[in-house]
Amino acid sequence: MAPSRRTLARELESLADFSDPDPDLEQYLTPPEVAAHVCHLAGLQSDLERPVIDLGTGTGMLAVAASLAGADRIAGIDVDPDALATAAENAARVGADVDWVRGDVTRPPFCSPESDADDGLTVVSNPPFGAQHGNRHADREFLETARSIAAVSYTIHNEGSQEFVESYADDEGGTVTHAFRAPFPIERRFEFHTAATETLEAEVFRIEWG
Amino acid sequence: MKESLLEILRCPLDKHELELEDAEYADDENANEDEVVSGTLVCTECGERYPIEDGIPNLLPPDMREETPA
Repeated sequence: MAPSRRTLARELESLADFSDPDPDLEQYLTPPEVAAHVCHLAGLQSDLERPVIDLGTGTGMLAVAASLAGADRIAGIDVDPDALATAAENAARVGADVDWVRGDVTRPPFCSPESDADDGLTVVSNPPFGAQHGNRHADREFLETARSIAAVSYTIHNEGSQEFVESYADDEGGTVTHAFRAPFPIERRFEFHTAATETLEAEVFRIEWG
Repeated sequence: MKESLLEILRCPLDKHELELEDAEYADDENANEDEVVSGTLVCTECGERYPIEDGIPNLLPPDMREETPA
């Protein structure tokens, strides 16, 4: 029996944050509430029956959430080995079963639907929002990878992304089936942040890739 | 990583399947039976080799791999 969304969020609150966040990778914590919302919905949509890939897993928040929500096969991929070490500790802390992979999200080491006859993969991802100068299209690269490997993806974007995400999906033969907003608090941690905590209104999209 | 992860892992360069060589498995009784702690993943097509260290496969493309620390 899958846990309720609230139970899931409460468990995820015990996960550790980045020990030494890297501004270039825009490493900030995915809020437990958002991860719980995404993975609870994925469970209801039977998307956790496929292998789940968390692109840019960071501290492992979405991968761990997928495990606690009932997924059997989950891999979290990140370029940063320190983040993966934190992610592995986080999974152990709450008894989640996740495989960790070091790799580059733009050149993903995973099978793609074109070459494999099986049911494909489910992608969950909280990409960098591209808020930093020079990083503006980071979330586009993550979407491109989702399209190339996933049957279904859940991605979390900065507010104001809906038009971009919908037109990208449309151009690539995908369909946005769910779109919702979620409060996304970010603590001040990098020089360029001014307020102590800023709450964005993140946008979450479920896309079926054709 | 679990050995069964190989079903979905591919070479990041050419997307071909990977083969596990020199695998060492976890001997701790709480670990999964197929938990690989070290070894090498080898692309069945291009032959590129990817190390598994502390149970985590490093599938960065070779041009992104850092030099071994001195």
